[in-house]
Amino acid sequence: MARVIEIQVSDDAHPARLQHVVHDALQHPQRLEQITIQTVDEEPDAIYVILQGGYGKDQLGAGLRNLLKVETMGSIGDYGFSATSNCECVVQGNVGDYFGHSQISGTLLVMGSAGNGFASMAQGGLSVVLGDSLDQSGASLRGAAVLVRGNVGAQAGFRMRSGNLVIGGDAGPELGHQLIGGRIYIRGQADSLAPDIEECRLREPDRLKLSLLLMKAGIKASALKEFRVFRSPNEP
Amino acid sequence: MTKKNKPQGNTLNRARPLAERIDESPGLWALRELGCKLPCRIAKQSIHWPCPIFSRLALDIPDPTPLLPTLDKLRRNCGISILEPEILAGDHGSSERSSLRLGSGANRSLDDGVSIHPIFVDEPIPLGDLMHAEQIELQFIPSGLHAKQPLPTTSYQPDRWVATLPSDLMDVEKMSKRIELLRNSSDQSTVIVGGTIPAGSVYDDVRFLIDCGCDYVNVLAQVVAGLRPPKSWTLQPIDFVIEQALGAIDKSGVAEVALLVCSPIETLEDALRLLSLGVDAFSIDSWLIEQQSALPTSSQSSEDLGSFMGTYTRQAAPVPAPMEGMLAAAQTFVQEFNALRRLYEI
Repeated sequence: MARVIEIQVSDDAHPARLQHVVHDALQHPQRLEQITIQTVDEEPDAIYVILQGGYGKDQLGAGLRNLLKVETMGSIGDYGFSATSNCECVVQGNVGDYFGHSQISGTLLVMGSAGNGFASMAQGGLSVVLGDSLDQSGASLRGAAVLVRGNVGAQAGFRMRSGNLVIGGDAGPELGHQLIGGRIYIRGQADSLAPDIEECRLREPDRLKLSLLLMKAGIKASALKEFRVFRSPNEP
Repeated sequence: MTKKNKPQGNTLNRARPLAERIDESPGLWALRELGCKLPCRIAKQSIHWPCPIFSRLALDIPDPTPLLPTLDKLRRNCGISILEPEILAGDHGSSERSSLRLGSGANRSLDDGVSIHPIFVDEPIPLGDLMHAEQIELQFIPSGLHAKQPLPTTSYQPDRWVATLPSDLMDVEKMSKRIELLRNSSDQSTVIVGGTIPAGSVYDDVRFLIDCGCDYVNVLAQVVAGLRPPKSWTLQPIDFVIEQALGAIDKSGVAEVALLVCSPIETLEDALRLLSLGVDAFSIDSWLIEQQSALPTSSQSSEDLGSFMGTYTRQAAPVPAPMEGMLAAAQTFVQEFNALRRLYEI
């Protein structure tokens, strides 16, 4: 039986301690009044969490793990859903700075726009913004895939080590500043390129990877040929 | 006792005259708790260490795996607080995370040392490992996990301790938000978050950590780089480090920031002197590696004897294994250190 947990984020519990609240709710469902646990027949042994309230709060949902889906119905503050693992998280609004920081695995989807440092230091999984993102998107990326459907600000892919950064729109100045590894895919134009990256040919494996990422994000992959690929010139 | 009115200099390490104790009940000082308290600036509570000694060996030497059981015993038997990386915690016989083991914040005995969770600032944050963390220490040094060249197996080079910042942060305010995130990721009521800096620009770096919201500052004046053979690096003279750090704490206006140091310790007097100078806790690592190198090995303990009938080797008295010997020496050190603290009332 899948379990559906509806959590009212109150001022009593810190937003970063949702994992503890979920853990407690599963072990002692009778103790917490603000949590309702229902069961549905599909997806056996999975947990579906709906977050009510907590809009604009920092650190909401940090460290969540092993949840089928977490959904919040409004915009949230900084460090939202950072260091999550094996969770599919959806934000029906905008997010602040460092959303998805240190993400380990799973999928993060932002329906609005994101602030600075979107998905920085993410180690795995996929982070998607359907709107725009501010400066240093995918900073110090460690292997995750980051997809911004709109435009990104300055220094996207800053100190990126590995992983993929896909930009559907335009990029600000110094794209790929101090990049060490990984790939940056961009469909639009960049204000300026950092000297740490060079353009390379879009090969078939790149196209396959790109189409897979777009498909996972639920975006039509009709204009793959319009993307350009950048990488570190030091990469063999 | 605040930083300002703490006794300065080694000359004040002397016992109080009996006449001054005339109105105190006998044995009052003997019963007094000799631990150290690290205050939390947010919760306005303190975390208790059974003794003001900690060890960073698990973090600072290249292959600490054989040493981890000994360090765990040091924590349980001697009350020495240990920095224990989560990567290594699962490797020495237990598949459980150390944060979920007995002795972590969830159910630690008061006589046990604290298990300190190190977080490298330029690495992803492992929030899942901090579920029951009582004390978190930000390491403003490179983790060495992404070094281009393979690291030497016996000891680290000094560039292992170059000061570093998170590559994705741009200002102090964002660093303080990250510290708040770390503090709130644990289910403990009082979580202490500190910062470790190599002794470079001590004054400015300590001010930076205090502005970021750290509860304590750990300054590395000397670091242990290897165990076999023993290797250490001295970064700055300890007196200069303490003077600069205490000055920065005083000028910051935040009185409850504690100061920890890693410095060379050869004798008990060195340790007492650190407390006299205003340090709240110190690292025992330099003393431990000295003891480890001084312990007789099995080859040294045997004795070659010769006669007209030939030569043979006579085994001397059984020698404890190096790690066990180190543990016994540390226990003696802590006992004698506590006795001297009672004598000098430090």
